Amino acid sequence: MSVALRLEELLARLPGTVRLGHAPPARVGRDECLPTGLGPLDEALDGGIPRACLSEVRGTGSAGITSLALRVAAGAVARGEWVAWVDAADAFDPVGSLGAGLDPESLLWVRPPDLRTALGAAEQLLVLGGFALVVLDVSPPVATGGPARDGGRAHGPRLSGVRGAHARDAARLVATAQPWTRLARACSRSRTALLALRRDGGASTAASLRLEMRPAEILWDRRGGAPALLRGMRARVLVGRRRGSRRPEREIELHL
Amino acid sequence: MPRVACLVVPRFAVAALHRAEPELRGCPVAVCEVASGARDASERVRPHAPLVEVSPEAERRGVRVGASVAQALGASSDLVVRPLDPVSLAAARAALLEVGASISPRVEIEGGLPSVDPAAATDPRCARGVLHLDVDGLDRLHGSSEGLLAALLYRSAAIGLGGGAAIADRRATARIAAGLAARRGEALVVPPGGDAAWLAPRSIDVLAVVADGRGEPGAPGRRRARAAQAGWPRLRGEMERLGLRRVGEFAALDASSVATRFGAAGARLWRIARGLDDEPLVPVPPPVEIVEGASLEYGETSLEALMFVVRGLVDRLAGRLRMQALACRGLALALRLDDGSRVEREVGVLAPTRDVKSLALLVRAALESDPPQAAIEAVSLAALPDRARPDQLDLFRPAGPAPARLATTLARVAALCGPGRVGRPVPSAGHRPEAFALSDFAGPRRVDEPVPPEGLAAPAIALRAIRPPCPVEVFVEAGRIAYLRAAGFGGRTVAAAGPWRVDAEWWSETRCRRDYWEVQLSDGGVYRVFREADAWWVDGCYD
Repeated sequence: MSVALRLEELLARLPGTVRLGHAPPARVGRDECLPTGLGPLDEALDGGIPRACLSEVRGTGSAGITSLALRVAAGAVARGEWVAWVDAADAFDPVGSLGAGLDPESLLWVRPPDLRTALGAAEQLLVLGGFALVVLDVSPPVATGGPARDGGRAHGPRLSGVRGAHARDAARLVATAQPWTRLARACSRSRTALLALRRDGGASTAASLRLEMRPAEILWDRRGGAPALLRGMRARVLVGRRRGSRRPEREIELHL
Repeated sequence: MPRVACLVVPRFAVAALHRAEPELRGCPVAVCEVASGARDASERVRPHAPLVEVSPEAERRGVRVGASVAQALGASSDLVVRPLDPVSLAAARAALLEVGASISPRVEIEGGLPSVDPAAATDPRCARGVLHLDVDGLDRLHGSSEGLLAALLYRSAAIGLGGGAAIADRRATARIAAGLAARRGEALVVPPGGDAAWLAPRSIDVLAVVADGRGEPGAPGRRRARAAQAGWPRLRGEMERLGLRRVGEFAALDASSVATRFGAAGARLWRIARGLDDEPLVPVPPPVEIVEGASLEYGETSLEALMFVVRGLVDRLAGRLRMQALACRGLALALRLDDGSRVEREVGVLAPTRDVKSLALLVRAALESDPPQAAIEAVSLAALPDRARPDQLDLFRPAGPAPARLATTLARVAALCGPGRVGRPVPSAGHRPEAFALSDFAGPRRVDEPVPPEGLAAPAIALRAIRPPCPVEVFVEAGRIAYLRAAGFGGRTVAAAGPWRVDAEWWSETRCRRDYWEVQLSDGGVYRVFREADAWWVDGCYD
């Protein structure tokens, strides 16, 4: 009798609430990755962001997590693949994404009103299949303080659901493991890479890959006595150990 | 020789009721006339109102057409009585017409085009579900005449009506044969050129369904009595006196003696009996709008209870759209309230879909966003049909999701997130830095040659937008930004670049005149701040 069959028999005897846990694929081939287009990172990741897996990118302030996600999305769109950006933080900048090499008109942009809806929308897209990459941005916007002064209304209504009164609930939801496990399971049933952008928080056990970014240097162009220009940044990336990979944790430096 | 098919749905008013309320199938059900001058929904069934149609279960309990509601309830205490609903009746007739149009381009429905006018509902012809189709040559599309009838019956059953169908050379013969077939829900094919031979051994009573002025079972009493004096009962009595029992015996009579004795109506029946009926088909176009509706028994105030009805309407709409290989691009919701007012809402659908769950979610969201101010008496939903999204596969591009599934998922995600929150970003008119719009998403734009990722130019650092811009306190020293303080962040300036001036829409009253800076703070963040009319704002963080 095979082990799998025996396991099924044993599970059948257990109460109905017991289910098999999520097990991400043990090994991911090079063709099963989405290249980031950043040589050192692709090398460290054995080809790029793994498909059919949940990957997390973490970082605070100007750590470069959005730039990295845009870079991966731009590469996928350039190859004609389908990309969705689920923007729970309402922070995606279509005009700025052009500068990052991404054609925003080839992107499905979802602007959920709250985090719970964002998780539901991401799951719907993963279940649909066909998307190469779904970016789920749950990183709260920088300004998480109180409501804007009355002058703020001049620029339109508040759109982000993770600010103000919802911020604490959102933080709790992000820290909960269950939605991430659901998303990871949905990923494993498709060929979609799910890239979650997060600030600091509890470690998620569902992610197959974790990248922790922190800023190393902001690069300003001051050549010839001209006014300064923001040219880019250097970021340090701690590439966490990936499931199924024997590579140890290592830190690399990226030029974004 | 032309061939005509006929589809008959027996007890049509009951069938329409079963379609609207499937849970009543198998129950004793009767449909009564609507009381004139009823002020609200609860007054539409009055004890003296006559029954216009009863289900077989009710008939087995002794309930008869023409009896009053009080008499019927005396005969069967568990009888369910519903008033004749012109809205659901018209929807059922429209659906039946679409079934015919899915088989043949020339279709006629008895009673003309469906109408939700309450006066039209009392017309007995509108309470009948009889469809005539010109099927000349169409049997080859379905393999045989039997195949064509099977397709017709299957589609009729799919919209919840069922019935029986027949094919013959002449319209009247097809109608007679379909009437007989409908009793057992089957299909009959009269061989080509064999109308007269098929009719000959039948009882003379089969001619009743094609006779002029027959006593309509659903007609109001006075009209029924007047028709009985001049129509079929008189002819039937004369035939009986002459000893005519079979159609063949009647057909064997001499033409001139039939005209003399039975008049024009008799002569017409004689031609039908001999298979010489030449009454043409009068085709009507299928309805442009796909509408489903229901009148509620009582004024409804609960959203959950209303959604139960709406889900049924959406389900029936989806079934009709599926039959025509169409999808829904939008919904028009109309509510009649008990204060006499009418509420109309447009429900947008992001991508054409037939997914019942998504469409019901969208209707729910529309109702929740602006609830009606009084109890709801009637609800109707009209679907805006559209072709399902096609997709051309490409040898050199990765395959995306199937178009139908994509449309369904997008509609569902849009229902979750709300209107205007799902799509692809497109530049909008204007020069404001934050200006953009969302458009329909149909996949990535086609590129002639895929660009390898290493071929991309080194990207600029990305901006995380802060929406709406957050007010910020700025301390300026010697003409330079020295310190920033805002809700949630702040710090000493490490480096700054700017200002860059944006002066847009100077011709309008909402002029946008801003000076932008990029500021690196001691907290490690790089922010984009701007000054507009002596106020400072931060609208993004480079990340």
